[in-house]
Amino acid sequence: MLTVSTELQPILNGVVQFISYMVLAVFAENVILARALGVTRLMKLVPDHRAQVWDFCLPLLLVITLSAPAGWAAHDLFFPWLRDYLPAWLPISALRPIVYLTCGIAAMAVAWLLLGVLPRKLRASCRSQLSLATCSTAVLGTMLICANQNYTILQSVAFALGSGLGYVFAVFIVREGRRRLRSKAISSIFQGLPSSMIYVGVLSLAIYALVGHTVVL
Amino acid sequence: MPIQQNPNKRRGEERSETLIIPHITREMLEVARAMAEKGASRAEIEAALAAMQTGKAPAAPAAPAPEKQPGAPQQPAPGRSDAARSGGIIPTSRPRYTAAERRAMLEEVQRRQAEREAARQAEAQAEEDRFRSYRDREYGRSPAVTPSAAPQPTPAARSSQTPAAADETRTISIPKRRTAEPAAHAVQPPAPAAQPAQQPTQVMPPVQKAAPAAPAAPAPAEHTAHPEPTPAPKSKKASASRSYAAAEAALNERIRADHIWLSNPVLVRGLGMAPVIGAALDGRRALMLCIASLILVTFTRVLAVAICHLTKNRFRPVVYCYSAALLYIPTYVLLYALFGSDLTLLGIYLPIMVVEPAIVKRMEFSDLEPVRDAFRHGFNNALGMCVVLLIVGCLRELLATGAVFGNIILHNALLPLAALPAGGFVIVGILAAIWCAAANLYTDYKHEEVRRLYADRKH
Repeated sequence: MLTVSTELQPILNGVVQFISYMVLAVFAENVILARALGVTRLMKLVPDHRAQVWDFCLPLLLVITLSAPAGWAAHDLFFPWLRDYLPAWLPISALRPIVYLTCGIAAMAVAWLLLGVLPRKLRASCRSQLSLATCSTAVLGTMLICANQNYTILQSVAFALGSGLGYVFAVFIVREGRRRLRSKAISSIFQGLPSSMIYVGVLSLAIYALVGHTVVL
Repeated sequence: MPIQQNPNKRRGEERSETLIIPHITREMLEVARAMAEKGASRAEIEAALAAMQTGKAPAAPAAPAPEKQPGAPQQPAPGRSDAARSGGIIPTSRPRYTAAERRAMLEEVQRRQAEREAARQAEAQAEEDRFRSYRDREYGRSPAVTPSAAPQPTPAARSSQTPAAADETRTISIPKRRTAEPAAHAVQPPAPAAQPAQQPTQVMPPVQKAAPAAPAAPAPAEHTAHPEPTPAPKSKKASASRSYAAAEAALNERIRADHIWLSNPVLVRGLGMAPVIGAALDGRRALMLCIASLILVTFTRVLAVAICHLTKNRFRPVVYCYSAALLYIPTYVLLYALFGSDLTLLGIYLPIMVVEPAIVKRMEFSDLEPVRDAFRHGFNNALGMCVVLLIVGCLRELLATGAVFGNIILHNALLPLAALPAGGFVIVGILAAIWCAAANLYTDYKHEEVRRLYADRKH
């Protein structure tokens, strides 16, 4: 009995760590409310009734999760190897976007294949939004955050999955708020983008009050 | 200060020295004045005037001839002169003119009226020329529209120019490109002969009032002499509506092309929010982001369009993102040389600019623009983004720390929340409201101006 508990301890620790990083990414370090990543796409996505939320969010979840291990590999394996071959005038930081973008493109290819299991109509709509989801600041920003924080591969995946879920969470919150912000009680000059930004700002302030400190940029 | 004399008292003194003579004429007055100048006594003057009233010639010399008025005839009437010389008491306040004098005066008045009318017409013509040049310059032609034989826009087309739900975040009411295309296609380069035919419906009311009798006959003659390539409008109203639609299309195109003010990529179209909210915390960071966005936004669009020309406009997302990522390398080297390790203050917001919608938004459009237009549009977009970055950065620094670019202006922080992303959201939201309200006022004014300039007025 004691031996079994000892073997389960690392697994349980890993699960708890995974969930804690995921919850951290969903609430405390929400990509939209805490770092303003993907706000532009959010503002376009919320009022667009033709594009369903899941048509964009499902590819985003897949890409952001699949790109996390690739980003970890680039940060922990590729860049140390590449640093020896770079000239002195070229800092390694200059190559980060192109490397992480390649990771995102690779994740997009895998996600394109995985979306094939969906029904035909949903698959077509999701694949049409796949490139937009890949070229989102939320995907690249999450990989860069994981690299800056020196996360392990497990932590990276958990943080990336939590970031994706946090994005979906913020989309639904803002969508509901946007529906209420169409009230005629709101001045006409605040209708549209300004009221949505102020609403997101209030939500962000609530997150800040919950966390108590600013996140690392 | 000298004490002024009482005017009533002075008037009373003068009244005591004034001769009160009933039925006095101008000749009598002049004779009396001449005699007084020569030193005659009061009794002599009264005697002379009494003699004149009784019909005798005055003893004093004749009064000087009255000054000729500019409009007066050259020769006085013979009867009046005879009566005056004979010492009569006929009043001369109302000169009597001969028929020749009356004709001369009438001709003079007519000549002056004609001169005034000609000057007024010339002024009206100049005003009309200024108006036409202004209207043609402002709304006459659109740079992006091409002449074609597309169907003319209908009033229903204009009413259908409401922004779609996908573009609802755009606060300024600008018609969609697709809905504006029929109006844009309706822009015909006005043939020289067609312009006079449309003039009666396009002139301003004061001009029409100044020249109400403008001959309409030459227009058909010129129209037949230089026939239009396109079929002429069936009626004046149709011609006016086409011109109005073309002007509206040109105005909408101008609004859409104004990436700095009316179609600002950040505050109006909602692009590039992440660096503005997350990283533009002070003026220095905003300046670094400005330089980065100026290079990336401009040259990414140029490079991506050039590559898309080679790839037949395929793989646009990959092309745009990799173009930005490639250009990020020299941009980072340049910024590192300029700002050194301060670049780390920007954190993740500098690398993620390669996928910023302000840079790669163009990949969503399937039409391929020329490289020159790509450079112009990219540069304008970059300028618009730079303006907002600097405004937001300086404002947030001022509110959060009371300083701008490190120079202390206020000794207390008005709003420390401005340094947080929450404050960035709120500040950008309020700024977007003010910006869009001002831009909406301007666009409403321009739309009203187009409506007024191209109104089909009946009178």
